[in-house]
Amino acid sequence: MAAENTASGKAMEYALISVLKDMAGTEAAPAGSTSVPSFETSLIHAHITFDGECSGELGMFMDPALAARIASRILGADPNEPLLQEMILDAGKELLNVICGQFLTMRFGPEPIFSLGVPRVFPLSAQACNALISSSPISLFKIGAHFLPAYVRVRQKTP
Amino acid sequence: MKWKILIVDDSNVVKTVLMKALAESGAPVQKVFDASNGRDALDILRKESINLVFADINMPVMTGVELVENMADDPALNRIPVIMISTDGSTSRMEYLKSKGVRAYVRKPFTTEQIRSVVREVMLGR
Repeated sequence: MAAENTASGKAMEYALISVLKDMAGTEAAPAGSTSVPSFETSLIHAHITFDGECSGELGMFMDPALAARIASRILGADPNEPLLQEMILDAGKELLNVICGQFLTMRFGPEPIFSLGVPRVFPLSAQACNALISSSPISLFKIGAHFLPAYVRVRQKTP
Repeated sequence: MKWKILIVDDSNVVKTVLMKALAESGAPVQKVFDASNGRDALDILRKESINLVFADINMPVMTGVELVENMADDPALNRIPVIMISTDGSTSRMEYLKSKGVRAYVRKPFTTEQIRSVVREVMLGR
């Protein structure tokens, strides 16, 4: 399980950093030994499942300002023009969709076929986010002054 | 001659970004239609004279794979060029789709230059 966690964690790290750069022109980096902060305001939780030769899920938490900034970059919109919440959430879904696709290729190679679930993106209270974050292995990324916790879980299928 | 293009994706963000990329690519576009799933795409394809289709794979109601299969089986639709745009990186899926007539496959995230290049290749043979 530890080896799987490391391999999947590394693949997710690569996917997240490269997709944020290519899709949103945004630099992200692992936060190193920084411990996961306790959040005081609600965050946007993005979550997607996948199924194929194994199943699992990928998720991340973004503060609303970061989500809006990333959405603006993806859309090539004027950063001073506020976006509709619907577009911000849609951009979050597509971002996670692409990260998951890249993760699966990095982790399992180009041969296996996976089906992806519909990404779900929704605001979540600070309390709920902190509870979720503290209950699972989390990779922490830094984007400017923002922290972005992310997680991946892979379940091997019993033959 | 200007083209009528159909974009099939359940994400409004992807449709917006792709329309922008098409505009920046210089492709001669007369009109862009859009659908959020394969079934709605088939409705449009049967009513309009579409010159080029961009389609995602993972969509509700009818997936991009099912759309391509339906188009391949329909003599009225099977000559319309299709470019898949997807997060899916499976080579066996790409090969299957190409066996069903898909002309090109672009992996997300895409750049304007990739769109320009693939449209030129598919529509102009260059």
